[in-house]
Amino acid sequence: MSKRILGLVLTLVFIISTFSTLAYAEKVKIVYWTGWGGSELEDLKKIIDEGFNKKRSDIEVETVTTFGAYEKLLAAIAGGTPPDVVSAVWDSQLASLAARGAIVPLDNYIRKDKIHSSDFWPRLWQSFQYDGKVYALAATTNCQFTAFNVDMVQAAGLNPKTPPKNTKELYDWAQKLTKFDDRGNIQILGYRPSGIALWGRLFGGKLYDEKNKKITANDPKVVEAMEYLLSYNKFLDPTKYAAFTSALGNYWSPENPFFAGKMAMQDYGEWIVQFGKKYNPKLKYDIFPYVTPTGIRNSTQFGGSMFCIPVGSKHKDEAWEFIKWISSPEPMKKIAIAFTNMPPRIAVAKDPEVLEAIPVLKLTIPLMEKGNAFTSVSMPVWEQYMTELSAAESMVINGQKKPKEALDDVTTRIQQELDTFLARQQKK
Amino acid sequence: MTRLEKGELRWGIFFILPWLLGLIIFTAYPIVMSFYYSFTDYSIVQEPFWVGLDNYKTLIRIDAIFWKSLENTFYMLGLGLPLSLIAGLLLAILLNMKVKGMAIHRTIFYLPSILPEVATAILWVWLFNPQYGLVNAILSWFGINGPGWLADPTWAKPALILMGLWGVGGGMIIYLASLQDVPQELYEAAELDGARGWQKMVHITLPMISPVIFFNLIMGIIGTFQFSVQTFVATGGGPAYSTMFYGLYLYYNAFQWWKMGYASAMAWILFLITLLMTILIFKTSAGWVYYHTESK
Repeated sequence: MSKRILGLVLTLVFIISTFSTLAYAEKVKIVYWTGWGGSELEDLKKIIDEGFNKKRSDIEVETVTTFGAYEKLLAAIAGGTPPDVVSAVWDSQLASLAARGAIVPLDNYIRKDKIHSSDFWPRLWQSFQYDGKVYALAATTNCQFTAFNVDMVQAAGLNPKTPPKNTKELYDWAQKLTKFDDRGNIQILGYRPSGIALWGRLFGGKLYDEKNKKITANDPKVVEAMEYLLSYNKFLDPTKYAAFTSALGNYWSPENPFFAGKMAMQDYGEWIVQFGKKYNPKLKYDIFPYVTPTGIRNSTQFGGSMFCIPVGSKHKDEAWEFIKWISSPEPMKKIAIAFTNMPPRIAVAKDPEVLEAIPVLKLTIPLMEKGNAFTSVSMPVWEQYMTELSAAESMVINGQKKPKEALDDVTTRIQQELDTFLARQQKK
Repeated sequence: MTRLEKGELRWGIFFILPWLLGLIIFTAYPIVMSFYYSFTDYSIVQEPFWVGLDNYKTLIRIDAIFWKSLENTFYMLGLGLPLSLIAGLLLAILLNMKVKGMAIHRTIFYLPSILPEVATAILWVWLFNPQYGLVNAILSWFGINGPGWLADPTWAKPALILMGLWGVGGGMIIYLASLQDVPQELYEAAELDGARGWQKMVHITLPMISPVIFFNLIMGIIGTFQFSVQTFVATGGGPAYSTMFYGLYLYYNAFQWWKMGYASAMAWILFLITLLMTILIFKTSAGWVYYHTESK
């Protein structure tokens, strides 16, 4: 008798458990690897939970952060267990992944669901592409400019209403705003431009000729830019400068050097609004576009996280649904306001609520719309190119190589890398 | 083999099977595969693509950074390794004295070598900071204007050598053990012949502990060639490639520049160099290494 009851109970448990797993099997779980962390990650998770997970009965997104662990994606792809969506990919890394077939082209999905490229900033839409195919969409983007501490500028006898117009004035401001102690160490840094990839563009040069697949790091204008970067050695000894910057707080923390009063000027994107509120609401700052030698200030460098689908994902359709949602107007607006970033959709960027939450958009929207807006170099051997460029910059600043020589060397080496890569891609 | 022997053999293999499988799957297989990959272009996200000897040819003939990384590594080998061997030995001799509380002293000097590498690297980055770090602060008490250390291409490698010397406790312990093994009678006999401190050192101590010096030398060479964790944290290879060591350059190629095949070729060249150096040292060891257990 007891054996029968036991048998019945077990059968019942078995039936119930089967049905309950069937009920859960209806929702497809997809994994999303994001590059955001800290408070931005919390905001993002909330937006995804409320706007997507709770609203959809067929897909559930699990958000995992991979703060600065690009190699994790590599290992995951190689091991056959990649995430279904990954946004820890910068616009500049897109080409590397696309060229090696690590991510899926999205053109069919875009056509099927009628996503209009004209809704997005044109140059941004270009940055979603490699070799004529679209590989990503974005929920945020950022345009960069230079910010300055109004009080420090006034104290140095400069006029905050007329920030530097050209490279000469920038040098002048930087020198006047830098304060040294009696041992010659830097106490407050006025400004030091860095990043030959950025400044080469501001001087009118290009680092990569996409049509002819030529590396142009030794373009005369880029060499000029390098000379300009070198010229700051006249009042900023490279070792003292390196000593000062290595002791600064983390940019992405409350010890952010600009908001902690250690730097008079620093480069930012729209996220400065959020930083100001969080790290030092009392600091008065103002902004101006990047300067150029000619005095025309309509340049900006933009970029941000790219939402892509790795090739090994087993739920590509569901992954697309998530990407489509997060790059749609409503969630995009929420994220833009939470992170104070620029929305990739033109209409969302010009929404009065967004403009009110992110006042700096008044400066950056015209730059993105009509100015010289460019993104960082996007090509298949970008990572090595950037390492070489920054090593070249370091060698020039430390007096080991002359600007032209350093850039010539980079050009030769990376051209050879690119040629080898392209040749082998043909054979594969 | 008798039945008993066969049975015991079977049990023996059964017990070491987990370790054996681990060795094959996690060590032997990757080693064999890396040899294969060294002849391919392998970006990890794509299938390996056979390129024959191209990786090796490019490394040796065209890659300037490869040679720079070798140069940097040999600098550490030529300067850092002898210093650490001598420092370890001197420390061991000091700690071999019969002084009260010697056990505490030995522990203190040994501790740094067991601290996590990444944590000590970050610690030393701060100590070496030219503006706020303790090293330059202490130097300034003596009126010395300290250099830029990790921020200066000329001083970055010496800074890393100093960082490594802090962890010399590991080798020191081994020296200590062997020092205590030197028979007292030899010292007494030498003193009877009128030998002084320095002569005792050169003619008794050094020869008697030469096997340990030999061991530390070989291990030091292997370790120096693979030196890269501290550099990755402290400098990332800069400034201006002055701390781009072989292991670090290999890492960048493998995991950041999509060239796992190229990096595998680097790994096998490293193996060859290490092997040649080790064979060389073994061959010459008969001339200076004295195993006192051999002559009975």
